[in-house]
Amino acid sequence: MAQVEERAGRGLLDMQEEKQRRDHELESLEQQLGRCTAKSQTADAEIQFLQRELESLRNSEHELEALQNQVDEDTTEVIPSAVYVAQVYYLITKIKWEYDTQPNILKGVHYGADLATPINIDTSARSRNDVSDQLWAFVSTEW
Amino acid sequence: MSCLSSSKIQLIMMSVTDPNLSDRFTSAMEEIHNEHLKTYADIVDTTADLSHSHRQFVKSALDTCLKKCKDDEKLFETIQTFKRELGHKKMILKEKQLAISDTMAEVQEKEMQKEDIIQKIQKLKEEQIKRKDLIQFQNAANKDRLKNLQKARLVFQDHLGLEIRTILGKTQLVKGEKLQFVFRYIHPSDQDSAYVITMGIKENGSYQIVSSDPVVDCLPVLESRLQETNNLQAFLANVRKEFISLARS
Repeated sequence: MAQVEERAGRGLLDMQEEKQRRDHELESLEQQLGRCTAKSQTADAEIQFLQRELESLRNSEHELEALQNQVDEDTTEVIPSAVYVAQVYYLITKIKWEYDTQPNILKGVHYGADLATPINIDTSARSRNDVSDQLWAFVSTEW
Repeated sequence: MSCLSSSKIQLIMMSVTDPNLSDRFTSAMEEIHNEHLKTYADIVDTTADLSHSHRQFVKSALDTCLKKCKDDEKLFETIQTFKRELGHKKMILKEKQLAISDTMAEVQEKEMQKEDIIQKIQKLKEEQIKRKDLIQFQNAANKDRLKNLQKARLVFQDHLGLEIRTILGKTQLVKGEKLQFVFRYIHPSDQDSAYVITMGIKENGSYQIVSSDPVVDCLPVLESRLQETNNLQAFLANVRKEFISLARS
């Protein structure tokens, strides 16, 4: 009987040891789980942040689109139209202007059929009707 | 008969011729009887004592055994409890392990998702930078060109007194481009008043007068000249002459 008792007693001690070991294991697993869960939550927050960044990038994509549209409009409509008008002006008047002049000095060249005539008018000294008449004088009324 | 002492035997031998014999014999017998009784009492006492202590002994032995038995039972119970607890703990540990591996799998997935989004963002950013540079460059070039074109237009408008407007015509009368020529600096006193002639350009390039404001009487003649010669400059110069004669006459 004493042997049985001894065996049982030792078995109990072994179990106590194992219980302690398991408790430690449980503790460390708990910690591990805690860390993993924290990582998961951090990842969630990071993903949210990144998705907001992606959203804002998509928004600036729209802004870029709008700018592109304006550029396209300028390129396909506004500029050609302005070029056309400039061409019509030249077609009518055969005048090319110089732009880097003093504010009231009108400078340019009229390219007539045979000769080129320089233009140099002080617009502050003349009435607008006069200047207009003078310039129109370059355009022949002959058909 | 060891209880019989020698003196007593002597007494008895002497008393054979003694007249008080029976008395002395009786008292001696009584003494012996008392002695016997005492001895018996002793024996009984001793036996009682022995029996008592034997019973005590048995009792304590029984108690010890019972106690031991209880202790052992408790021991076994404790062992059982421990076994159960250990089993329970094992289950919990398994659960925790499972939870940990699930969570780790989640984290893995999320890391991948993160990577994916980061790459998307990177790519989009790069694309956008490139496009932005290109667009801004184009825009600057366009605006520059427009500025220059605008300069020319303004000089013509402000000094020649001629504004050219292009309108995309949608009426049945004139399909395609419509042009408006707005003359200013015609009227001697009201320089800003507008004298407008509107015309359309057909697909084949020929001109068609739509309207004029104010009305010019000889406009149809001018129109037919224009359509014959296609000389826009002369046409406009003549129209201006007409407007001037209207205004300054």
